[in-house]
Amino acid sequence: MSHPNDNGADPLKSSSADGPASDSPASDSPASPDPDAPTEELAADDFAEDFRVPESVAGHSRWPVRILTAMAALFMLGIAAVTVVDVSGRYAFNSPIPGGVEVIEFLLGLTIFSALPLVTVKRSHITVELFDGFMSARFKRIREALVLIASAAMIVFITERMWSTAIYMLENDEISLHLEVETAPLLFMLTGLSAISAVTQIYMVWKYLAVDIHAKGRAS
Amino acid sequence: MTLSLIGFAVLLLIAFLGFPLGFAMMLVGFVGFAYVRGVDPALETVSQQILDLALNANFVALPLFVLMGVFVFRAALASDIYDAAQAWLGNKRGGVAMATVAACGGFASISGSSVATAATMAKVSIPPMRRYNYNEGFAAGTVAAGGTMGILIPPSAALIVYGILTEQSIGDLFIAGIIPGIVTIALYIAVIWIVARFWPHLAPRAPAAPWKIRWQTLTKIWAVLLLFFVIIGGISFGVFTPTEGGGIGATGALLFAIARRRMNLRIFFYGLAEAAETTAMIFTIAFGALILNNFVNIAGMPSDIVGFIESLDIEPIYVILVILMIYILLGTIIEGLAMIFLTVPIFVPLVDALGFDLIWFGIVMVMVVEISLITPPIGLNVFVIKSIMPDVPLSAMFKGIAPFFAADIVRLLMVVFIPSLALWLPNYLR
Repeated sequence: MSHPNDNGADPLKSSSADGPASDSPASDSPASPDPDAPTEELAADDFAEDFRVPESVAGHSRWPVRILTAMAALFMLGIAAVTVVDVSGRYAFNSPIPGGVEVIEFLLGLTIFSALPLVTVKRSHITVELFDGFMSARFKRIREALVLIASAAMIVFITERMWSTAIYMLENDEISLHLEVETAPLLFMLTGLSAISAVTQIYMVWKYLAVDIHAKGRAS
Repeated sequence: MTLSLIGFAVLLLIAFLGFPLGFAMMLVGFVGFAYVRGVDPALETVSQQILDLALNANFVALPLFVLMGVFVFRAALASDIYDAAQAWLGNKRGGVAMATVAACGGFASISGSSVATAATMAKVSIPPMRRYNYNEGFAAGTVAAGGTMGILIPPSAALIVYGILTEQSIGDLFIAGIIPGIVTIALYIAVIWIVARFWPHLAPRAPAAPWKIRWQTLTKIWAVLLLFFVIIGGISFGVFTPTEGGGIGATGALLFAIARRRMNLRIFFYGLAEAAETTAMIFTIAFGALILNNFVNIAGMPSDIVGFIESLDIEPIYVILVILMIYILLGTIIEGLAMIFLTVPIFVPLVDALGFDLIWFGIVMVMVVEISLITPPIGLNVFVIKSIMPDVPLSAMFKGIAPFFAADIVRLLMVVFIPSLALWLPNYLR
């Protein structure tokens, strides 16, 4: 099987998000003013490299990450497939998939929430870090800990919100508009996926406070 | 009003500390809402906003165009576009740089991302510019600036996001970006012409390509032209919705990648996951932006500001100019999508209340976001190019960008003062 050698630097990381330095803090910009930034290599042309779990959080998380990556990919495939079938059905045979739009909506939610733990573990949330260049190492460490803890709190908050919505839907037997299926199970799935993100982030807090913060030079 | 300002101060502080922007906006929006309306309604709002976004078929266009971008990149269409541009323009004074700009515009017509456009085009256009002894800073500046067109020329991730946040038609926004995109290409080429005219050593001539080769290169870019015309044409003429266009585009790009033997199961799988991750990243921040937006609205900020402006008795267009100044200043430190998410909740209600067209403002906003990608000290596109040519100092690159920055200001003012540049085409087609 041919292994195409791609022709781009690494636009994949940011292939749609023109957001700021959004991968890991290590690679926030090629021109990072911090010369001793961690040297987590960004391999230029291997797709798989983008899906490597960062060393700092690897531990036992390789398989969970693979499973979540597979889930996210399948949900994404689902969105594309249903859209295409829906379009061709509508234009070629004048018969769209009944409730196709709703299926796509569910898949969108599942795609987002199944990829959220991956965004979390790779720390690729969009940030606008500004005070990076001129902070003392000590301040950076404290900031890093605060950011991790606050992020964990926010994800727990989101999870709680999904959970209580799910409970509400369950109690009120809410059904979807077109397909008339119960919506509570979907919400429980979103809650579960969100909880995985929360657990991931809490693990990262623990890891940082217990291990990384003591290791010199890795605090940026 | 005071409350909103305190909210924004807190938001900026925690965001600049490195707290993920989406979470920061969510937190400030939630706390602010709870302060005004009480905790229970605020909790309700949070879940509602998240589900409204995450389970909304209208926003599926975003993941689909992201996926298309991933596949387009894999299909390696960039070098074909560049070869054609180079064959036709290369022998002009500054022609290799002109070809780069034209090729960036071409790639932008199938890519929704400025960073991807800059990175991809840099790979194919920097080596020839080096070969013909172009000034390296100028070469870098050309690609960095040319790459910004990725989000102006449809499809565009930034315009989709703007459409989602402001509930404007994504199709109209796409169409509105076409003419400003062409204006940009023309102005950039004019800038290169002027530079090459007065400083010929910066941008020497390349040998002319024989006519046979010229025509040959054109036959190779049919894939790109087909993708663009089917998708954007289809959306423009109302044949299908942006979401459907995204689905067709992703499928088309996938087929081209397969046809060019640049796709296998592994790449396909990772491409899907890549698109899913980018989607999650963008939606997380969109959740925050909408929750913040809610708070800003109930706190009465937009109407307060409008009242204040009316009391000043100045022309609304001056308000727009002030907003643009703020954008350009902000753009020196904040980049790309983050800028859209952060400022839409603040400025769009104001612009709307002043009676301006929100499709037009979307294009204006995307243009200032483009500028943010190339202005020092933080210019994302410049950093991308820097990673490809690490031996060239950043200062030389920013110097090379200067003429394009001037062109950016010119085209920005053109679109601000001649709104029909953006609005004529969508109005004509509807």
